[in-house]
Amino acid sequence: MEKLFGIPLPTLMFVLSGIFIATMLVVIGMALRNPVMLKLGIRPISRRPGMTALIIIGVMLSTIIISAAFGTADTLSYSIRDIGINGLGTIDEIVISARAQEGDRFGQSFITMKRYEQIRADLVGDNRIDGIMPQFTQNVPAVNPAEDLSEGQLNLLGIDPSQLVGFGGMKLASGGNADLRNLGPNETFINEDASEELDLQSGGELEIYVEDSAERFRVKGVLEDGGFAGIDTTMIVTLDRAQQIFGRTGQITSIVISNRGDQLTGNEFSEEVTKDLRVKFTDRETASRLKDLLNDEVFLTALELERDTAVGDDKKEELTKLLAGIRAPELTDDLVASLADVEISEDVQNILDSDEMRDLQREATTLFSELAEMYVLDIKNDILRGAEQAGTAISVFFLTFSTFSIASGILLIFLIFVLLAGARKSEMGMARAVGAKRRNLIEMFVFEGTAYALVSAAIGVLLGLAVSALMVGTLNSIFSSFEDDFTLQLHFTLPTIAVSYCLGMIITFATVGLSAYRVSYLNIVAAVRNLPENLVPTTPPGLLSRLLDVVKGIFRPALFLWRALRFLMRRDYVPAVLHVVFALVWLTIVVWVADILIQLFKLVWPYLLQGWLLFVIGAGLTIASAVVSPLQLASLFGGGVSLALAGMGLSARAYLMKGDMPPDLRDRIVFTAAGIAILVFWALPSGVLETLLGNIVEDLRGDIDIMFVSGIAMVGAAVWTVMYNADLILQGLHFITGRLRQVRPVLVTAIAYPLSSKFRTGLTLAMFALVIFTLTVMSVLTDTFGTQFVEARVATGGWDIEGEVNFTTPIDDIRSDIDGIDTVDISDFEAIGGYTQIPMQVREIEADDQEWNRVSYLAADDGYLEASEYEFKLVADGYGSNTEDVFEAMRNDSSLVVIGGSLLSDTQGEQGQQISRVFNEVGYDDESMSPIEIELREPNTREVLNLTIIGVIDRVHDTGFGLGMIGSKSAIDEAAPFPIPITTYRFRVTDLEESKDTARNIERAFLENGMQTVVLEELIDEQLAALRGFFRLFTGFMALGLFVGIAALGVVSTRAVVERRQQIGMLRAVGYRRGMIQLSFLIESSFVAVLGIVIGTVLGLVLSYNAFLDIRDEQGLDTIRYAIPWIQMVVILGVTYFFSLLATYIPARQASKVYPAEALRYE
Amino acid sequence: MTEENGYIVDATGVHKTYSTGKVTVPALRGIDLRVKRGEMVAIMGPSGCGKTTTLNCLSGLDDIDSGTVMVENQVIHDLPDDERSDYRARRMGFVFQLYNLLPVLSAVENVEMPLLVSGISSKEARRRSLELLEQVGLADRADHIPGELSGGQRQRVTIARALVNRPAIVWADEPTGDLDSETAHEVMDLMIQLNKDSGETFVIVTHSREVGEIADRIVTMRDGLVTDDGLGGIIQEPVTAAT
Repeated sequence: MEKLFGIPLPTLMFVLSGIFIATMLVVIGMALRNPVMLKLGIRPISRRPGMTALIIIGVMLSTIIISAAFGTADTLSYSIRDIGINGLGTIDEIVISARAQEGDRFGQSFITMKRYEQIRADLVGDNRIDGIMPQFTQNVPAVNPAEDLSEGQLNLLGIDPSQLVGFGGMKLASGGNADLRNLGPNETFINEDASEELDLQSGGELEIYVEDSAERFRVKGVLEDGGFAGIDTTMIVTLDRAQQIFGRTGQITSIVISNRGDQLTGNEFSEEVTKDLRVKFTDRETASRLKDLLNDEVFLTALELERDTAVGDDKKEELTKLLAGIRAPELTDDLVASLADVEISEDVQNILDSDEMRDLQREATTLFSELAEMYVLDIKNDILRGAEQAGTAISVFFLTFSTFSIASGILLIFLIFVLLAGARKSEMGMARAVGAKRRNLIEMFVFEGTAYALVSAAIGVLLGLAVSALMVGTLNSIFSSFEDDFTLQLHFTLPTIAVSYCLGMIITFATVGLSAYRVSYLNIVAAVRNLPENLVPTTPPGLLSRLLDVVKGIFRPALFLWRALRFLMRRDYVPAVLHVVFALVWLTIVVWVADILIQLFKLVWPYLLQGWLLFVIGAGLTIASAVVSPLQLASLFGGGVSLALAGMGLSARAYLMKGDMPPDLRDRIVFTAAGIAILVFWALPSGVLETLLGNIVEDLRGDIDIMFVSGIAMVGAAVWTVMYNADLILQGLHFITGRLRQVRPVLVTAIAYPLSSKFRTGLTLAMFALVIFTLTVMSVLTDTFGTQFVEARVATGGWDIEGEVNFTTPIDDIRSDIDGIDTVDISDFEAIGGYTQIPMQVREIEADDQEWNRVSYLAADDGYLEASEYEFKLVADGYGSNTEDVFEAMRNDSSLVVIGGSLLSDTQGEQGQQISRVFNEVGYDDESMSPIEIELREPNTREVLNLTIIGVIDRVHDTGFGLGMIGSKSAIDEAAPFPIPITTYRFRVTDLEESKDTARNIERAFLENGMQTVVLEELIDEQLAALRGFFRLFTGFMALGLFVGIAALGVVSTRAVVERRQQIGMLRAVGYRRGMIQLSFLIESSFVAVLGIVIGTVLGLVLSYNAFLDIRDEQGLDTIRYAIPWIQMVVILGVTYFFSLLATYIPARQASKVYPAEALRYE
Repeated sequence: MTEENGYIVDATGVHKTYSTGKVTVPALRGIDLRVKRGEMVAIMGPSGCGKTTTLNCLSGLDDIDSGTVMVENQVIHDLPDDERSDYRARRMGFVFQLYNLLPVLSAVENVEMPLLVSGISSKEARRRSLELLEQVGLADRADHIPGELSGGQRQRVTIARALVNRPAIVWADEPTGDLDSETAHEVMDLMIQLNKDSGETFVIVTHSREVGEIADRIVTMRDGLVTDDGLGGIIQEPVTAAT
């Protein structure tokens, strides 16, 4: 993994390490200046090893989650990279023909050997290149006749052995080098994959089928996978022999280039070599004309917009280069190379595709078709980039979804330090009384916190990597169900480990600092006498003082330097250096900005507490999200409404404070009303909100952010409401346990304690509820999505088996062929259909947006059009009402086509564009449609067909990558310059039970055509199982957050035993048995855990139900049902509860063993 | 329950030694002490003489090393822990110098705690607790938590809690130690009144000469021994000074 959130990982590592080192320097400086506080701070660590261990466990949980996400991403990135690099070996670039020529075949163009020799002569002196190889490659069906094993898509590769030198030769799987120079015409080397698939070893025989003939080869050796041997099943013959087999003497399919260096270092030249090759194969004059043509303000403005909205830094960089090149006075090589890049040329042509640039577009299309002779594929770089993107995506994905867990972890650190402060309250009060400053108390805690952070971040990183190893193992078992060759290899890099450590350490340190700051504001009298803080109210600093703090925050670095200067003048060197370090830390900007934000927050805090400012902010966000287009986010709207409601509650409280209402009653009324209002708002299905608020809500866009905002708002409101009404719960419990007299006194103390410290309990409760909430939403939505996979036969349009043949060995007439075969009988099938999927481009003739979009065109034969049982969501007026009518019309008129429902927007307008749906004229949830005139373009030849869409297939059939567009094959046949064979067959069997055997029989019967079959039901099941497996793994990862809640309970309980030692002694004196003390602690934890579980589960169910309604109604997934995975939920919740009790059991046991006389003796 | 010898507490040869690993401290060195039902006994002596240890050992809050402690004819130290707890809940009340109230419960909830432990119904427990609070003059503070009460008020709550289950004996450890003299007087008056009115037995550990004078009898201790049982003569003389 090289980047995280767009920042290169090494940069991130240096910045974080810098902050880490600066932080440590500050701490060391403080320790030197005040060794007494250092002693006081770190003394408790060794004195209470049990508590220390528990704190370290609690503190390291965030780091574990971060490190596990990074570790998994590293592994994924490395594995894809590794597979790519090993697969390509020393191959760095591939050159293919850019122009369709006469004699080309469907999907393949050729380069003449003559042209190759010229290119070779040109490149041979380039010292960046150490290997050039002409190759001929084609997939063929192959059989091991001895074992009756077949492989439908064996890659036959012809190379010139004399050119292998620069590529580092080829290795035999058994060891040693393979000698290809003496390879006879009927000899071949196969790779390990082919050897395994066909059970063939050296000396074995292999038969391949090319068009109507068969060729037999003797296996001369088995090659190690990778490089020319590839990673898919491959056989290698000499180039001449390959050309001869396919009747293509003097032609090759591509030229392979190896850069100087090994398989990894060669990549260093890739960018340069690719650029030079592109320049070489591009007509400069055409490029110059294209430059002049594109130097048009309308186009450049559109290109700038495209660049600004592009996803990914690489794309942005490429488009920036293109812009600069077009604007430059002279034609540069950079621009030539850019224009010759297939992806860039597609981008340019898509931008040109608008009415105002129609003339420009026409000319550009012609120039682009004449521009490049060859395409240079920067293949290794592409794979490395893909690996990087996958790694980044997975880490961002895991980190995004574990935000709650990490946030809970931070809350836990905060809680731990607030508890630690509570334990030393009187000690700190005494210190303050005898003259210690607030700063000294902060220092004391910072020393202690730093010690914990240093150790816990280290352990956390290691455990996180262990968790990622576990996850990688699970992912491997998921992948193995559908991809044999892909195995993730555990791999962690130093930057990710360093970043995980520094992040964990800095998060902990910052939280410790914040908690220390809060703690330092203790009231000396209350602390010394151990009184509750609220009994001794403190006066908050005035407005002027707070304003001054903001100004100080803005000039903080200058203030530090000024103080440093003053110390220096007094020859007080240590504090002088320390203040210079402080200034430097602040100048890292992050700390400075954070400081200013904290001061600003403190400035407005009293007004936020009064409610009116919170209301204004909330209302402002709500209005902004409804009015300002880029801010039309559901999360912003919902967040705004929640803040406004909370603000109203606080304002009402401030107003009521002027009256004589008892505070308890006042707070209960106000907070309950605000909490319930927020809950009701979030619990309302969006349909209800749309009815109430109309367009305001309809136009809002929602993404994963809505889950976070709703989670925080709902859980916050629920915890708020519960904490102010928990006495009602207590009364309810009293009522229920009325007859259990032994339990009642236990219950009284067990619930009174958590209720007496609302902050601590609320925090723990929120941690539990947030994680349970996320888990519930994830579990329910996973299962709910699973329900859309209806019965396989329905999903596949009534087909049971799919068979693919090699396009070089197509079947002429499958039905008559079946008639002549013994193993299968035509009566085994109810229907047989065939098609070929071709990548095409499409646009609506009438649409405003005249952009070409990619579409997969399924060119079907009549058999397929006759027997497919797709349900139609929409049928165009005048084309009947059902499947039969539509397909009959298509069989009669080859210009009629239908499309899969996924190509349509859910609703008209912005949302559709945002999710890149292809057609905008009709929406999936429309009631009716008119025929849509479209143009279909072949991307290479740019041949355009005029077609009409007459129906939209129900999305229930859009499994996998979607159906795309379905049309008659004859429409394509008429337009294509070469014949298009059918590559895919679908079979509906008469006996479903026998489908597996029938599939095998079909495969065997059409061995020579390379037939590979799959039972569709099994395929769908496998896909579903893999999907579920992934989501379960993911749910498991998120469940890591539960340990935070559990650890919180453990910490709170352990602390409580110490805090309440005397009270426990008293309870024992008045007759509490040991068991009752233990039970009291367990019930206390249960109270928090169960409440958290209930709040999280209920809110999670509500939100997931709303999400289900939205998905069903807006995306038109009629088959989807709301499904709750009860067993999974019960297991998750049960295990959570069990571990919560376990975490409390040890402290509870300790409490029960407290000897009354001993406990009562000490204060 | 009636006692064969007329004593509600009958302790003989009680030894208790504390050990902190390296140092062994003989806290009680074989004390004998008897308390009659309805009697108010004050245990006095210098700091570290073993007064609180005596109270803890006699009330069953602490184990003893040797000797016998009988309360209401029950050998208290032989009872299993749970039974001893039950016994304390039903038959004993405690008043401590630092009140030892549960800070999270209101005054009335603190008072009713021993009743709830003894299995009395909530309703009855609440009624009796309010009655007791009335008796100690705190009916209007019943719903306040200890943090909202003064030291004297807290000690009254403690006394109410000690008496709410109508115990056979109330053990009080420095009940006025944390109070000013005026409040201390009030609290002592209250205890005397309760002793007289309801015939409760009180064993009070105290430093205060005034408290001692109010009691029926003063038991004096020194170096882990009872040097004067208040019944007319020195009964045990320490041989050497205790460490």
